[in-house]
Amino acid sequence: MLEHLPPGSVLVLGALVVPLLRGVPRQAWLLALPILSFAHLLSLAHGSYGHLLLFDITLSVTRVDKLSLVWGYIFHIAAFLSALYAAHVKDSLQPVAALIYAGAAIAGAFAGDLITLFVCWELTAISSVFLIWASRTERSYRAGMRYLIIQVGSGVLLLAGVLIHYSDTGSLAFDHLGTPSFTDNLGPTLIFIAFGMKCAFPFLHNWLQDAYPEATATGTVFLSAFTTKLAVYALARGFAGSEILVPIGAAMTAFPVFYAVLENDLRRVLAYSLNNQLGFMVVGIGIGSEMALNGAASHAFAHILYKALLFMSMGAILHRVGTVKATELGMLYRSMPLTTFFCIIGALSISAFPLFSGFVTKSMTLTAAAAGHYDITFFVLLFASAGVLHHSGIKIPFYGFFGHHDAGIRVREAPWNMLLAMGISAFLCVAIGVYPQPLYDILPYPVDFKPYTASHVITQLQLLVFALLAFVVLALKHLETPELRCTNVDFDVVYRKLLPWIVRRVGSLCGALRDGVIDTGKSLVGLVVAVLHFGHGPSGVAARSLLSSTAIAIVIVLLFLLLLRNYLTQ
Amino acid sequence: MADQDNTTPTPWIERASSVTLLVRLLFVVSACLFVPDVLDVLHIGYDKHVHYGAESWLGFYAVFGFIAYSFIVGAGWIWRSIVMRDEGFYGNGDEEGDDA
Repeated sequence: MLEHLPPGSVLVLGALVVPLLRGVPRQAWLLALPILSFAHLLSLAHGSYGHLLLFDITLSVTRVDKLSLVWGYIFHIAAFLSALYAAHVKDSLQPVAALIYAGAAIAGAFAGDLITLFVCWELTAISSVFLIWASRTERSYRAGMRYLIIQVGSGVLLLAGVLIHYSDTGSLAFDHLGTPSFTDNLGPTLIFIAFGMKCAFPFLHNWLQDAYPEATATGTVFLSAFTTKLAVYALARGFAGSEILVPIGAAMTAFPVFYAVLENDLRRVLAYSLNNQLGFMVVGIGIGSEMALNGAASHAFAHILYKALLFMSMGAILHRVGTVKATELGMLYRSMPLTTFFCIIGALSISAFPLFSGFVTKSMTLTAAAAGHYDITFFVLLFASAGVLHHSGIKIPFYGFFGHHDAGIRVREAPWNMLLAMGISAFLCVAIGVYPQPLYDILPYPVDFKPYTASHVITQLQLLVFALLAFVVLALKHLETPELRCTNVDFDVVYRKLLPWIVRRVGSLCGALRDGVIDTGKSLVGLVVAVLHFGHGPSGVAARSLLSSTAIAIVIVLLFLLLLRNYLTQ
Repeated sequence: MADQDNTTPTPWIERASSVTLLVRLLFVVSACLFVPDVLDVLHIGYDKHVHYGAESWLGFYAVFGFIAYSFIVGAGWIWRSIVMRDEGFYGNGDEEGDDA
């Protein structure tokens, strides 16, 4: 019976009960649901479940295998930690949206066919937007609308690709879909672009930096875990080994670094950082070797934890202080020492310091890149690793909790539930870093990789410590880029400024053209009216009437002339 | 929400002497991390595992980390001059929300 329910459905169905509950029972229910859903997942053996007949097509709603299980495990952990972090929230909208969102993402990771994937894809989009709108500000409303348009657009593209793919192959199975090519493989190519939109490929990425910082403090923690990682899973399932993903992923690791260095909003810094981390996973999927795919999967697992931890620490600041702008903060560590500590754990993890989770996962992708002779990519990833240290390893904890001056902010430490969620996340980051074997055991392929070699530890420490040294030297010389209240224009300027400007210009041009046509038409009509008036107006020639005596006289003259003609011709 | 508290003494980590100490410590750690590369070049007890020839250069990762970080900061200055606009560039106001 239970195997007919897709994984994650417990969360979706359980979310519907949440509005009926209040206080402690509701908190207990929110925490129990991810555990129940996880137990449901564990009850499923490898295989396909939930076969449905749609018209004459058999859908396979659930497919459990090693690849999907990696995402299934970490999505459940993320759902539990995020629910714990948000346990204090009294607003009913957010937990309902968050649980449906998490459940849809989990179901998507186990989708055995493309139609089920599409349904989950759209459900994640529609449910997650409420986490952005829940901020209830004009900014969040607008950002949410842009987010929704792009996410739903991605779903529409996915559906179009699925239909073309079905028409070409007669299959809806969500397996390897081949190499993207507009000429030879159009359906999968559209699916690839749809995945790319959700995975924040370059030029398709700005919804991430636009929307995530506008969500609520707790909503961003949920958002950081599911949407983009579902897309990473979808790429790993459908396009593993597609060479095009290697340069795309490399670009994703590098370019956000240059925006993260400038951003003042620390949650936006983390959004750029998220983009950078996704790049490592995309490169791994593009390389497609067993080690690279293990690297992508393990990195996704570790990344969800430390990124959630970093967003949690920034969310705690937002919750207590009301802002996460670097220019407004300073010496918050005095008021929030535990949050500071947990944030530093997250920073060390994302920077891939030895004994932290990033070290034992990210390096797999780098090793796979070197083994596959992706020479330029290897050095780009190395550069991006130094960039990660800059924006997430140093900037986030430094400007969030220390800074150059005391901003005079004295607040209480984060609520207990936030601290507990951060504490568990931090523990997991360290646990994975210290003892990665349990994570390696659940990866899709057997792991033949030893992270703790003297060479790896020393070279990684050299890279990071000397980058840290550069930070200190530049800071002492006052050469660090200062934090400024500003907007940094990214590619979204195209659809937030340029396209509206073009539409306005075209609109005004069309308006002028329409006015010209109308004026010309009016002139022509006026001319015709004048001509007609001349001929047929009250005093016109055609409308002129004669006296009957004059008419008789004319007839007499005409008869006389006729008579005269006849007389003269005889 | 926020109030000024001037009565507490300056915490250890904020003292200038502490910052100086930490910076010196970092320099010492950095110098120590250079030692294995010297040992590798001299083939004494440490063999750096490399994929590319450049990685075997003395202090490659250290120099790469230092230069990469400095490049990011330097490029940041230039990039800022190109992309920075007023905070209200998109005209969305400046309010932030919370979920409390």
